[in-house]
Amino acid sequence: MISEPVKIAPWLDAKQIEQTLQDAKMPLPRKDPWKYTSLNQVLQHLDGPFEGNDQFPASNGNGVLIGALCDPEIEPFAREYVSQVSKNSNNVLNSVNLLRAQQGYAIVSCESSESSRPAVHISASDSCERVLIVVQEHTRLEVIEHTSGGNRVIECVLLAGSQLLHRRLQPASTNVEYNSLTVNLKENSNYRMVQYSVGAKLRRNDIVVNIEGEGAQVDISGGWKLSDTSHLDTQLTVNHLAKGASSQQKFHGVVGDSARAVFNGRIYIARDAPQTDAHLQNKNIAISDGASIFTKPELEIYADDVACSHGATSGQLDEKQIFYLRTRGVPDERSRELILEGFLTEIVEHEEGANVLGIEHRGME
Amino acid sequence: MSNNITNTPEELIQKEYTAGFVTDIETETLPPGLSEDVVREISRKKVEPVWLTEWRLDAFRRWQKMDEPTWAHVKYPPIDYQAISYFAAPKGEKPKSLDEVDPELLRTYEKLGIPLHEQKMLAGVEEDPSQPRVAVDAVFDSVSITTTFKETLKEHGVVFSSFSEAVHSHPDLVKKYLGSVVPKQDNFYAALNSAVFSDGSFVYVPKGVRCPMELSTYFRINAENTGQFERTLIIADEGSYVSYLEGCTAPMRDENQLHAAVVELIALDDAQIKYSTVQNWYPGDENGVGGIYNFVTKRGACRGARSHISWTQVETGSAITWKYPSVILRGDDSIGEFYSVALTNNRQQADTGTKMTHIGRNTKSTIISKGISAGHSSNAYRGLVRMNPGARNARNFTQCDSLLIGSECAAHTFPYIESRRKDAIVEHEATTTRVSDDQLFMCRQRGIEPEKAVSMIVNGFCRDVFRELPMEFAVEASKLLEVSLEGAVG
Repeated sequence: MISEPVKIAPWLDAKQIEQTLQDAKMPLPRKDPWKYTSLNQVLQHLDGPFEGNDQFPASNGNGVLIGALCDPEIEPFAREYVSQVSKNSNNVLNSVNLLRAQQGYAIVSCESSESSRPAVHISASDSCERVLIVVQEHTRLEVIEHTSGGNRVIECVLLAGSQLLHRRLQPASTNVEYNSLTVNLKENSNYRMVQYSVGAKLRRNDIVVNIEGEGAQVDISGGWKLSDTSHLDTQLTVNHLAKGASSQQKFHGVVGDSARAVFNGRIYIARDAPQTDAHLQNKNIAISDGASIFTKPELEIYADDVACSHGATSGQLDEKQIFYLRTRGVPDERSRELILEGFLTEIVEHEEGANVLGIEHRGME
Repeated sequence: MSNNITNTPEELIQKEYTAGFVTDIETETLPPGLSEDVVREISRKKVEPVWLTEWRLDAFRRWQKMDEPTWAHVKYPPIDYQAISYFAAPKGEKPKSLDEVDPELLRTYEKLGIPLHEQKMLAGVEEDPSQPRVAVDAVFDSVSITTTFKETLKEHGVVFSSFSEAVHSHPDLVKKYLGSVVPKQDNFYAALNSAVFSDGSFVYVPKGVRCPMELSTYFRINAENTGQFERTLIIADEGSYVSYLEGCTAPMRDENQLHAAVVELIALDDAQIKYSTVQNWYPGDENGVGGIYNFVTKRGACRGARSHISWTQVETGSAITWKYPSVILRGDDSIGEFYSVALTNNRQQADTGTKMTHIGRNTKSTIISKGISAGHSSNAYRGLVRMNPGARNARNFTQCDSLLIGSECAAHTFPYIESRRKDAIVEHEATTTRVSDDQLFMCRQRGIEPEKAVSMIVNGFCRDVFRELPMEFAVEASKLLEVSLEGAVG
């Protein structure tokens, strides 16, 4: 077989990736994890065409390296991590992205101090791109990611003692969008993510977090507010592969009109991961009769010395709460708004997040 | 017991299977294999009407085109469906009364503690009114041996008989309701059962009748290389009430035997059905050799307004359990309940749970599931709560907790929630923990032996479910857990 280099990472062999794709077990439509979201629509979307984007993300400070995957400074990192971080996530769509990506770049944190942390903005674009984020030992980094249409696959590695704050902003869009994120955590690293989403024609977020180092901490939260016929699917898997780690996941959603919200949150605890503390919560409020909510919190546990829990609810606005506000002279519509705002505020931590969700920001940054 | 506390938990969790003996009795079996001829032969042996033979054949043809489900969280080598014998029955004519039943068979049931003598029970009742009466249908391999208290029940208009008998005595009811809750093409195992089902129980409770005693079926697999495919149909007419218990055991063998049953419940307006199971099929030995594959489809339909179906199960046996007792809540204001304790030990695997489909208005469902895993076993809860667009003000509450005993076992939870209705409320919560050191310490401090302490903690963990069981079953269930967990020190 004659080899053919991958456009964005020439040291990888496209023919070989194609071969593994052909041998791989393809996901089936209407079966988990594509039970409630059209796999065909996403596959068609991955076929393109995409508009393309030749801009790299911007950083607000020093201590961070940004460049193409084949950039000489970046290449050693890229060779080590690209397609390696997500190799166990069993997602063939990541390989499809690698073959079709128009642009590939990396963000590498090199240094940070206690008082400052470099922040990098990844802008939204209707392109097919591959992103590598490396947070080096004992450094801190903040990434603010905007998504809107396109196909972005992010591979992210947090080396020992590092910290990453990841904010993902998903504003309204009329496009199909597929985002895949894999995060690997080494010893005592800390990953914090907040995702704010509103409607898109079809928006799918696959998130896989692998806790590979002892004592790592993961905290993921998200909020969505969907209207019209929008469709949002969030598939989150947290794999606890090392002992003494903790993970918290909290998602709140409001679904209106004939929108559909799909959420699958899976906590996996390997036999080698005792003393794990893992909790997941997903709450949904439907505000119209046509709204659909599909949620599945999963636990898969192979170790006994653990404390795990999950909870999921789906319901409507609490009439008692509305009554309480009405008795205090708040008009009906305003009291409903206030209650929904309060419900979403529980997960909103940033002003941009509040802006995306269209609510007033009351929290502290 | 207390002398063993220095052993490891794995050594200590020794499950004694007391029902593992074989009854030495002449059996008539069909040669292994499955074909249209076998289906016809089973139907012929049971002297069934043409429509039922055709129904079976249709199911068989559909089954041939179906694939075995692979989504459950269980692993087992492929089953050779041609190596199983689909019919086994004690030789001779069906006994007309208990006196004609082979004494060897009677001894079997005596050993298992199943009362087949009405007189004895009746006498017991007269002396001790607190002793509840239980009518029993005893199914041995593919046939029903006897059904007790038939006359007493008849006085109240309640029909309780073996399925084969009901086909002849109440053909209209059977024809109307058979396959109306679990269609023959519902799933791979239901289709297989529809083609080859042998016997089972049939219950019809007429309008406004409260069934005067607990009804019970006891299933026993005895013959080698056979599978058991029973079919149970319970119809509760308007305003009636029935409580039904199901028990099952099998001999200890090195081979895996297949048990693929179908249970259909129908509750009309204001009717209530309470269905309890204590499942104690042979679970295999500590290395996972032998044991029953329990692939069962159980579903109830709350057809009428204000109807109520409640499933309570205690699953301690079987090498593999694949079982999801479900309720379709079609009638307005109907109620569905599922209470389950599933215990797995050694190499047992269980994938069990429920499905609540809310269609009618103001329908309510409650799911309480307690999973206990010990040894190298794996225990999964899989559930679905579906709120259809017409389910106004529907309500569900689900709680599923898992308890882990030992570091080699596994516990999983896969709850699907689908809501297409604004005012429907679904709540799900789940926890997974081990027997905590604090709880153990607290008991030890008060002088309670470790084994006893674990047993107490486990019983407390299961209390929400046990209190739903009829009294005599609750006692049996508690005892079963004690035996299964004997010596486990967390």
